Amino acid sequence: MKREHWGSRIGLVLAVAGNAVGLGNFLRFPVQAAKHGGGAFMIPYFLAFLLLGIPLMWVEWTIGRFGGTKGHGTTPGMFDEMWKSPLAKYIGSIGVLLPLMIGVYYVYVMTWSLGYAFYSLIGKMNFVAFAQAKDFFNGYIGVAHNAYFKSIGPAYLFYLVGFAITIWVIMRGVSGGIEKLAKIAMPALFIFAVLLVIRVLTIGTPDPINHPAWNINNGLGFMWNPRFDALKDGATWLAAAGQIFFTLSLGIGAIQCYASYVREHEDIALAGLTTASTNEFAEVILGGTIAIPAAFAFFGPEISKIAGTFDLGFKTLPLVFAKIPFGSIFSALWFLLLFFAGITSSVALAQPPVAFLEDELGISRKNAALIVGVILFVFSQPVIFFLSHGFLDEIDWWMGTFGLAFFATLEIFIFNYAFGTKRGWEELHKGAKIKVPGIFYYIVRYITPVFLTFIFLYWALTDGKAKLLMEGVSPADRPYIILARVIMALFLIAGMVLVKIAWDKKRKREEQR
Amino acid sequence: MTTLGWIFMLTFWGVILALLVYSFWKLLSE
Repeated sequence: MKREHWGSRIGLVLAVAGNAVGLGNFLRFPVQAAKHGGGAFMIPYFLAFLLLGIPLMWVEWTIGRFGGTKGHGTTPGMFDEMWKSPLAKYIGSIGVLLPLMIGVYYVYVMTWSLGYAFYSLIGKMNFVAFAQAKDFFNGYIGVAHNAYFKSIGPAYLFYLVGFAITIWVIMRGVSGGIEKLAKIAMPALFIFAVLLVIRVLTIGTPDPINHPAWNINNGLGFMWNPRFDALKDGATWLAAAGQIFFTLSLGIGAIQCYASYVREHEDIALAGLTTASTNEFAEVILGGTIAIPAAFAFFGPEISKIAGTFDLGFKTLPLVFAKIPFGSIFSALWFLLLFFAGITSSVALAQPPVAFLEDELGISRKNAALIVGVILFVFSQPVIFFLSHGFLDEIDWWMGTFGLAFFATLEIFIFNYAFGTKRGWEELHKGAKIKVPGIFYYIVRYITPVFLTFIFLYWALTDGKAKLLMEGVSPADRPYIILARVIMALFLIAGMVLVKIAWDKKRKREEQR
Repeated sequence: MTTLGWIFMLTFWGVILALLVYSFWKLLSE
């Protein structure tokens, strides 16, 4: 079957950057940086970028293009081509499972921003107290029924819209759907972000009489003044490495899938660098300048108590927007920005399972997109309706944290020691106009695998034990956690069975020839 | 913001912008 290709290089870079730039760039990064040493956080963050992020990005681009030239858009086929072991394709199946399972909840979560953009525009979010913003959020996601929301109906409606857009884009294909979406959504995202940055930087001192120190200058200071004592804490280094890992969308299987659609002599060394630097621009320069400095200017150092990722973006910032002129417009821009960041990541999560059905099982793109759509829709239901029971968090930890680190660790070892670093290095430079500095050869071969193994073991041994034993989970919530685990296990087994069926079919076809 | 804060912010912004400009310049000139 003839595989699709990206229509243009800029479209490819925007699509892969769209995959990487997600909610985390604007919501997770600023909270992590402010919490772990401010400017000092950037030292381990940048080191992790150099030793983990960029090397793994190049590795995944290399694996993806190599697999694509052999007719594979997902890691089962890619690993099978790289490592002549019957195990390889089964390990690769994790690279289809992860995006599918993460997609099950990500598609829902990213549509919250669409709903919030709508409610901003119709003026329903003019909060004066944090408690109101909190009630609104809890009402919207269905955790509570209150004066704002009597049911989860509105959130469900926006979910259906976001879900339908995701599947529609996937059905239209790589260049006709994903690339076109990226060419609209990414420039729009950057324009919205720049407008918001300008607005935030001109906030000045909102309450000069009562709180003269609560101003934008000190807000930037809250984000950037280095607190070097944080570097003595191992948690800072892990948080930085984790943030780099999540923000670049590594270890999922999505980058490999997108890279499989590049042409054989495309400069993937440059494309990988461009997407990583676009992501960092969105994260550090734009993401770091909007939420925290704006929240500080209005609420002062109290914002250090903000714990969750969504508390800052969905509860504190609406309060900020309610206090500035034309706030509803800026609030809508903020949430539309998050929606664009989210929708481009959603399609990137949905594409690998579609590509697997197309490439390995010979199913047409439209039918594959429909099958994946049905799976995403059916398994989103418990995520939506059992949210308060920790169902989403359970899947998020096993798939979105443990799973990514586990898969990336296996991947880097397969790349280095089964495929061969030297062969991989030559593959990376095929068609490349830029030469990756030679030191990265040794980083990829020795440092990145150790770094990844350490992160994986740390997460597995510290958080993993508590998660596994359901520590802190109430007896009432345990059935929901067990249900989440059963679903994940069934998906894992189903993925491996499908891989076996696909390879048995291929073997029979080859024997008949 | 302290002087050191400004130095940190502008340094990391500078590095990221340099990477961004270099990579897009190369990408569009190929």
